[in-house]
Formats: sequence, structure tokens, C-alpha cells
Amino acid sequence: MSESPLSQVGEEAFIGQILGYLDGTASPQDQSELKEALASRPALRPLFVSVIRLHGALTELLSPQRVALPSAVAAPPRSAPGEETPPTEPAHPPSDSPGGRRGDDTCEYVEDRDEDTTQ
Amino acid sequence: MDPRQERAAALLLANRAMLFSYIAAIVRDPQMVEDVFQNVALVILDKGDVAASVKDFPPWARRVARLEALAALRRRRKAPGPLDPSLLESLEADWAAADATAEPSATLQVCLERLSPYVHRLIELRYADGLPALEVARRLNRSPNTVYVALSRAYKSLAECVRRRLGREGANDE
Repeated sequence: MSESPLSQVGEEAFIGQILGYLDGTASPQDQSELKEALASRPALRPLFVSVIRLHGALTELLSPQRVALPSAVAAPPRSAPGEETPPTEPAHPPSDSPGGRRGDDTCEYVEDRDEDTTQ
Repeated sequence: MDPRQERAAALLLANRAMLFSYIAAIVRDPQMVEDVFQNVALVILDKGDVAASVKDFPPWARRVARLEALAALRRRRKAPGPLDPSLLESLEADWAAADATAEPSATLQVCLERLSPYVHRLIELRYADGLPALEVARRLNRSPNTVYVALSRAYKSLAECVRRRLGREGANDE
């Protein structure tokens, strides 16, 4: 059975629900409803993603300091030939394992490509 | 910065709004969003060359962001909320589909200027001043619900305007 499309009012209410969620003002019940809606109605997912992305685009446009990058990225230095640029400090202490595995909050970003990144 | 890092930095710059919003959707707390974003930026700078192409970069970077955001929530003993790992996985196809149609900031700027002065003010308070909608409502002496409805309409209107303009530009390019 196909999903019924959202009415205009329903769409606005759903966007409002997402904005409340992003603001951290959504109650636990609101959050459960949002999760249930996204899990059970795949047709709502593109709207959800588009609202979240627009939130990021507006933040970048109107409050660029909030999406400021580490200085090494924001203004990539142009090294003269033969001149070395200091490496950027990692966000977390590196582990000894070759793929950059870390402690109990392990994030493995390159699980299939460890060998490529360590050569 | 070596060429490998320069490439990673360029990809990061091109995708930072997307990544910021992705992290915001998972962790929600504004300070935490900025902290996680910084960590993700550093990881990408360090390992960003694992994405084989420009097209491969956004999904790979989202995976980094997802792992960093969920790890940050765990460190602070916070539940991931609605966007748990399985739902994030379900949403990935929609994020990937949207990668192709990301809104350039110049187009968004034009569309912002077309909003009514009142709605423009709402957006400014919410984004330029970084106020949550409840505070926006208090400052404008409106009910929170009124502000959420107005912001919802503004989002719809902006999204439609961007889509229309990008469609027109795409047609002109052909």
C-alpha cells in the first residue's frame, strides 16, 4: 500500500517538528513521533533531509563563524618548494594500530582501506 | 599542507554546510555540534584522501561525522535520540540523493532576499544571532507556535525558490 502524501498543513507541521528537534525543544514524545514517522514513512525522509541541509546552509551563510574550520583548513598555506608544513594535531590521540583505531569510542573510518592509507 | 591534505581540505570546504547539518541532526546541542565538527574536520584533513573521488567524499565524510557524533554522545552519556545508527543508515540514500542538488549559497542568498521583512527577520534572529525559536518568539512577542509555523513556511518557500532557480540555471546551461 502506498503512503498518502502530506497535506500542506501536515508538511508545515512536520517541518516545525524537525525545527523543534534541531532546537532541542522537542519533548521525548515529539522525538518518538519523529522517529516513528521517519522509520515507517520513507516518503518523509527526503523532506527531513532537505530541512536539515537547509538548516546547515543557512548557518553557513548567516553565521559562518559557527562552521569555521580549523585554521589549517580555512586558509591552506602554500608551502614554498622544499618547505615543510607542520602536521595538524589529531583530534584524539592516535592509537598504535595502522588504521587509526582508537579506544572505546573507536571510530574506524577506513576499514576496507587501511592498507592504502598507511603506505 | 601536502597535496593530499589540500585535496581533503578543498572537499571539506565544499561540504562543510552539509556536514555541519548532519552533525547537528545527531547531537543537537549547539556547542557539541561545533566541537564534533572540529574533530571531524581534523580527521578528514588527516584521512580525506581515502575517498576515491569527489562523488565518494560526502558519504565517506558523513560516516566519519556519524561515528564522531555518536562517540561524543556516548562520552557525555547522552542517548542518540531519534537518529540512532539504524535510522541514520536508512536515511543515507536520501542524503546521497541530495548531494547532487546541494544549494549554492549565492542562490540561497537571492532567495533569502525575497522573503518578507518579517520572515527575513525571523531567519536572521534564528541563524545570524543563533537564537532558538523559543527565544525568537519571546523577542518578537509572538507565541512559539506562531514562530515555528512561520519558520516552517520560510523553509518551504526557500527550498522551492532554490529548486526553481537551480532548475532554471540547469536549463540555461544545456
